[in-house]
Amino acid sequence: MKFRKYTYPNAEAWETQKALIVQTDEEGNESYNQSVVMVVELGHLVETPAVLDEEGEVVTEAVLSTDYCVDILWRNEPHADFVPTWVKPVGIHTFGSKHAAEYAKAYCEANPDAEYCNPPAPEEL
Amino acid sequence: MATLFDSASLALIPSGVKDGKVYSIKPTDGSGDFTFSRGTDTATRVNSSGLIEKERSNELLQSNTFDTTWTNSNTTETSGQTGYDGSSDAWLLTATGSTSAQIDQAKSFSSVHTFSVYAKANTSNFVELVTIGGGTNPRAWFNLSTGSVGTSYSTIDTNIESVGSGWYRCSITLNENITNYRIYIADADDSVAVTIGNSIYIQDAMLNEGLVAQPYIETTTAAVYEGITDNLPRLDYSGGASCPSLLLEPKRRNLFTHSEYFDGWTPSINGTGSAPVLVANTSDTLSPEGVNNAYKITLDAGAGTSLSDQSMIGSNGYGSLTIGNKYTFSIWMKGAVGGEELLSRSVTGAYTKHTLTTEWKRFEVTETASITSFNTSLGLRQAILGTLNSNITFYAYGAQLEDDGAGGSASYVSSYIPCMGTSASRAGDAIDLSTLPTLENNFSLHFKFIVKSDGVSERLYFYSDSVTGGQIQFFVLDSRKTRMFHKGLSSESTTSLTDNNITAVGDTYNFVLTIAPNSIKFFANGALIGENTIKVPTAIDSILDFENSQGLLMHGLYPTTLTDAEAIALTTL
Repeated sequence: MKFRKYTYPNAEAWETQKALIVQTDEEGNESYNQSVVMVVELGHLVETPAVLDEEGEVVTEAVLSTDYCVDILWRNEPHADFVPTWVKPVGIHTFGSKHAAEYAKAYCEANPDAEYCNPPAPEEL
Repeated sequence: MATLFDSASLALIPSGVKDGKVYSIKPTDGSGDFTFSRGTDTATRVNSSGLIEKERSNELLQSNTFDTTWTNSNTTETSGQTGYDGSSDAWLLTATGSTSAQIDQAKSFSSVHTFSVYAKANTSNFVELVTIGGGTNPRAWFNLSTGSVGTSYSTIDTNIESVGSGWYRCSITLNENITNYRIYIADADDSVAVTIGNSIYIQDAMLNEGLVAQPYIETTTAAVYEGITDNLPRLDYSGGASCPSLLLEPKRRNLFTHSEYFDGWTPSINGTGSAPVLVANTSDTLSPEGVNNAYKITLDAGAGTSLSDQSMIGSNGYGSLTIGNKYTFSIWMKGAVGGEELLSRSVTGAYTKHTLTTEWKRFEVTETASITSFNTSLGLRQAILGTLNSNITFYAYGAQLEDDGAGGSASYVSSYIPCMGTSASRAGDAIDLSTLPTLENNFSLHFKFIVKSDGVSERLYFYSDSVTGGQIQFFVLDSRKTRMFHKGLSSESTTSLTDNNITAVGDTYNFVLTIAPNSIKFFANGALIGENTIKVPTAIDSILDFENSQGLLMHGLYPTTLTDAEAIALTTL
């Protein structure tokens, strides 16, 4: 299994790409095909949470990212048309520690010069 | 005397499982065994001891081979020493320099995690566990002569536990981005000075997620994962059950980044309130997991009685909410003395009051989101739902705010998904049997389960005939009913056979479908519920999508049309 992260300029762009991994049964019900184990639509990430007043009413709306974020756990190799976004491991969401480790390894293979993959030499204490 | 069971061609009573497999007790040749998949290692179950069980792992390599993969500095490592477990698997770690005598392993890890090793004094009395990273290098000294924790820096918790014969398991728990794990020999507390030639014994190093050291797992060239792994079917004993059910749940996401580490939540103090006092890994009580990883939380709202007087903790996550969708907040809590009242709020501006007892209870609130970012608060706030006691002490474990992770609702609580620094998701459980011997014309289906889901329509099973396209589908509906659908051929539309009211979550539902040419009957909990004479499916040869939030207790197939009396007997609880 392969854990990868993706960002899209908006939800509509994700819907377009999503069609590549969606199947429709004879009754018109949509589901993901066997290429994926799980898809989690993180959506527009919260950059600043909403502010509520003492009665619980929203005083200031949350500020959300413009990007639409999606995490996919692929059953085998990722679909070639899906271009991953290499977020520093493991970002804000995971499918478990084993998959997080796989993501971190792939991240360093794709970004060998990243600071995460080249930690400073341990200091003497 | 022959019994109904003798005539079953397939009988699944969840008891034997392995990774990717659920065994049927009939037939015995393996042809009736179901394949199982989930794919994510974030699932948990309630085990036969009534305790929450997770996946466990050791992320270190060569966990008890300290002369490979590990790098040494000013030490020698000698194997073959008598260990804490009576083996000869321990190592003598001897200083060859007068300072910073240590072994280390490079490993990048970021989450709430615990680094541990078994150690025993020899000519040195101290071991120091050090983690490098996060700018703080969390570390602690342990006195192996007195069995006490010495100085520590930047840890969540430190622990030393005697395991006999002078051996101790020493551990540090931290929440940092770490790149290197070290074991030092030391002659004194808060010092890396050591006499050349001095030594300690060590054995079985471990690095695992979570607030406490898990039972040791041996590793060699790769991390090892045990317990509730990716594709292990979950035999669940929730509710004090003496016999397990097979837990089949849909996908879920826990939006919290910290579900157990409540220091990762944000204090909210106002008016006369005081800062919450949080104690990790309290020794006051075992958690629902059966270990000392619960939090002790003391809140004091002070003497004020206005809206402004509060002492709370809260969590704001990254995840935006979908207004109009349902989310379910849950958390295990118990009071120090019982009767404590506190409030929670998650995806709306409204609060819910909870009254604690001295027993652990999972409190659940399902609400429809009215805001786009969740703003979970837990604690004391006056004048919202009456006046609460001004101060309380309670214990907390396992917070969860769940949705389905794909823009859909979570209208009921599901099993616990631990989050140790990031939000986490659990994929849906699915079992299927695609090579079922074809049953034709006269056959019966028996299904018994514990109702788990509440308030959502979910397909529970789906039998099909791959030749004709005929189907039998069974749903649990959000109207608190079950509904059977069937169609005879793929060209025919699916029609509803019958509805039947179900009872409450946690109750057992037991039904039989008997099928004969031109007759299909549905029995539930000891009574004939409905029958039909049209579009009778004539065959089934596979069971698919046997999934969703139920606890499967039994599934049987019969190559005959059971009589009404037999069906009633079989479904009588």
